[in-house]
Amino acid sequence: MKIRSKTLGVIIAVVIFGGIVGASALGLWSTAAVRNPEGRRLNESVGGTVGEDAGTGAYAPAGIRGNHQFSDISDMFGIPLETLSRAFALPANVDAATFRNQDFDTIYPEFGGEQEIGNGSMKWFVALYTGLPFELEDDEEDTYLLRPAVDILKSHADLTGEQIDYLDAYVIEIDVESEPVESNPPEDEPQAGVESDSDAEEVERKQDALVMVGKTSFADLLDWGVPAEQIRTIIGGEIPNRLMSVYDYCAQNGLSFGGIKTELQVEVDKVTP
Amino acid sequence: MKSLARDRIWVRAAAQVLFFTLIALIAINHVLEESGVAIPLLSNASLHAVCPFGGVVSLYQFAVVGTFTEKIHQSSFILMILVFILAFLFGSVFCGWVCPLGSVQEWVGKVGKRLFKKRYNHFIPSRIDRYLRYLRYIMLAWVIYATAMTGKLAFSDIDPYYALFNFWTGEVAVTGLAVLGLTLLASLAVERPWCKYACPYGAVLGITNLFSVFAVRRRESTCKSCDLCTRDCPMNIPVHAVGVVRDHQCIGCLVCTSEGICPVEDTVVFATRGGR
Repeated sequence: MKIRSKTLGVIIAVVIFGGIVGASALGLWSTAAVRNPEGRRLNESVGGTVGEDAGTGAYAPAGIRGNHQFSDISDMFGIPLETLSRAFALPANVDAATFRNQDFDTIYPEFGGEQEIGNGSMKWFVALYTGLPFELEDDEEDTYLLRPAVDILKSHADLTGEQIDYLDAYVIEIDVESEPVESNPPEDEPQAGVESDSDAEEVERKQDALVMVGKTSFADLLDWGVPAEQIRTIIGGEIPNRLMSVYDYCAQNGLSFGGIKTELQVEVDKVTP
Repeated sequence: MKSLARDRIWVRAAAQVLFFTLIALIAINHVLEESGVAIPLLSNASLHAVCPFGGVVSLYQFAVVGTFTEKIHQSSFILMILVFILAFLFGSVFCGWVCPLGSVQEWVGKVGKRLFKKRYNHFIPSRIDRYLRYLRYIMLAWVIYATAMTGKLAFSDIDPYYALFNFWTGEVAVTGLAVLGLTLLASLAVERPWCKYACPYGAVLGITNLFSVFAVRRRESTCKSCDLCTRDCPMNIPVHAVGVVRDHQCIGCLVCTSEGICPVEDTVVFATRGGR
């Protein structure tokens, strides 16, 4: 059987595009990490996406865009503007009402590694605050929140132990007293929090340190120089496959990530020059 | 007329433009989406999500831990399976028809061909070249090992494909940009240098050339031994010297066939065994 170029071209197109359409129809096509409100990444083990709120008329966190202002988000999801402002530690001289998600990088320093506050952080915060499901893009899959946001969620939202563990795993400690910010503060008011010299130095110090986060794997710990024996002692068992994250290990074995994380961080600090 | 052999396989040229444009638009849309001005009806997925090689490097982790490598999603796995289906049937046609990086190298190569004429794509002595062609298997082994050990995309910092579609975002490692620059520069003298010497995905797909259902086959009874098929092969495969092209470097471009450069009808064909 011979095949000519036109036929081959058609077959290639049919296999690729037809395959994608077929996979979509079966709920297998997913280009993003998906989390339910418990914070678990669903597409690691099952297909499909978390149902959005299409059809209910309600807004979905997944629809939050970089050009949305805090006031838009406050209106859409019923979250007080002051709460958003505190959660994201907006400096006092920033107008919270008109601040856009895409401008986070203008007020926050680089936190080092892949830790950053961005539009995905806002989606995540809103989803947990409201209990709505949402879908994260590829580059948002390890989404962090600032400590003030985590504290607000812990005090406001009805979180499960698993959710709290997750938040503790993906938190950026910024050592800021996040005072409530007025919607339209005086322009000459001193800037709060992350912009001060001392805080900037602290952030710089954290960049250089090795910090346990949710996605830290056993391979990372071993590469950093933490002795395998210490790891085994802390987790109370054998190290599973080194590619597994400590967070996933804890979730699978019913352990509190927060406690394990603290103990492992002590060991990390011991081996960090 | 036969000097326009590649243009005669116009379907392939159209496919290359189509897939390059599609991937470029998806990459642009991914950035636009962040500012709320995304192109409607077009995916805004990340490049990692639409790269089938992501599925390959994730296989080990998926098998032992049940999770994907960082930044890899189900879409990569689906694409990997689809491309393997194509490869089992037709060999590494993905490289010759779909891969945007391969297409870009070809397009740059058209300039090189004008510059160097017949010397183009023949600078490296074959006694050295034949060994260099196996470098991509070393690259493949390293990528799979490093990804399996770290759970991270070890390849992304040197990946010219990622650099090609993201160089304007500021998210590409300097090493990736350097590799892309070197690849494009080398494309002026050598056809598809990345594909020949370094591409780990090409290495994987190239293995299927050894047993794919369809392959380039030459009918010796009608062959005039003019060697045009060999001279015009972008991958420098000696088509004129074999009955069936089972070379791991073949990209299924069909340039060597009677539809392309071969001047004798029905002599070099893309067919199953017995289908010549």
